[in-house]
Amino acid sequence: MRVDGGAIRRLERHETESAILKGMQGNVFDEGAFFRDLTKAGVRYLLIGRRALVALGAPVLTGDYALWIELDDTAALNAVASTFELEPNYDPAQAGRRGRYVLEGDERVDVMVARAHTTADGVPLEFRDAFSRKVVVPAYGAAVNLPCLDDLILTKKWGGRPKDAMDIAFLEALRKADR
Amino acid sequence: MSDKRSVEEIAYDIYEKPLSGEDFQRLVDATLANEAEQAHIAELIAWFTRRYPTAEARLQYARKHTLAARAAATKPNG
Repeated sequence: MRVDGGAIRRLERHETESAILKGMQGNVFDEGAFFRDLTKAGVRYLLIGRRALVALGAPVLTGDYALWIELDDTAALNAVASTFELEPNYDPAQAGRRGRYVLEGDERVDVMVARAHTTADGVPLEFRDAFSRKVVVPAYGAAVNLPCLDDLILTKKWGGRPKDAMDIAFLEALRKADR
Repeated sequence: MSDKRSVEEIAYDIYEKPLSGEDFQRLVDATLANEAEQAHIAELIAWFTRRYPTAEARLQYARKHTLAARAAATKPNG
């Protein structure tokens, strides 16, 4: 039997995907369903962090999700998250006082609930303003909400880590590519 | 002199350790002024958006690689 290179690559890919699926045993998280359910539940959210960069076109790696949500929608987000076996590490009142919390399960979702945040150099950003300027991208039959580029750059300045500086370089390059 | 820190500690210092506002801005400015770095980033974006032309495809790419990394990390030795 003659086996061409393409067939070998397909077999290797199948084996890789099988290995991934084995590693996923018990993993109930369906990313598409999660975004669809957030939309259905009317949760006002912005996908921030590196996964937002990925959606826009930057090939960066990340292991978690980061959302910035309207504080009043915390309970609605938690209700959606519970159907994906993600549980909050603080109740909504505590989360509101802290400004952030985490949804934990097979996935980890960092949730920022502060109504506003300011960069180290004093530039403020309010959730409602960022949400009003959001960029909506279609994915999985849902509308995934991202901050506009300028706002996403501001959120990256909040962290002030070396990797945030690299992410800003990616975002500036995306801006140039979009011109 | 040997570095006694763990790989995780070294990686944290390189990528994750928060900088002062001034140092962070200096790093951003230096990265944006580095033409070779900018050209490389532009090439990466061009490849990624050509290979994965939709937001959904790109999110799936990230998810696939996250799961692969987790599977590799939990794979027993030997």
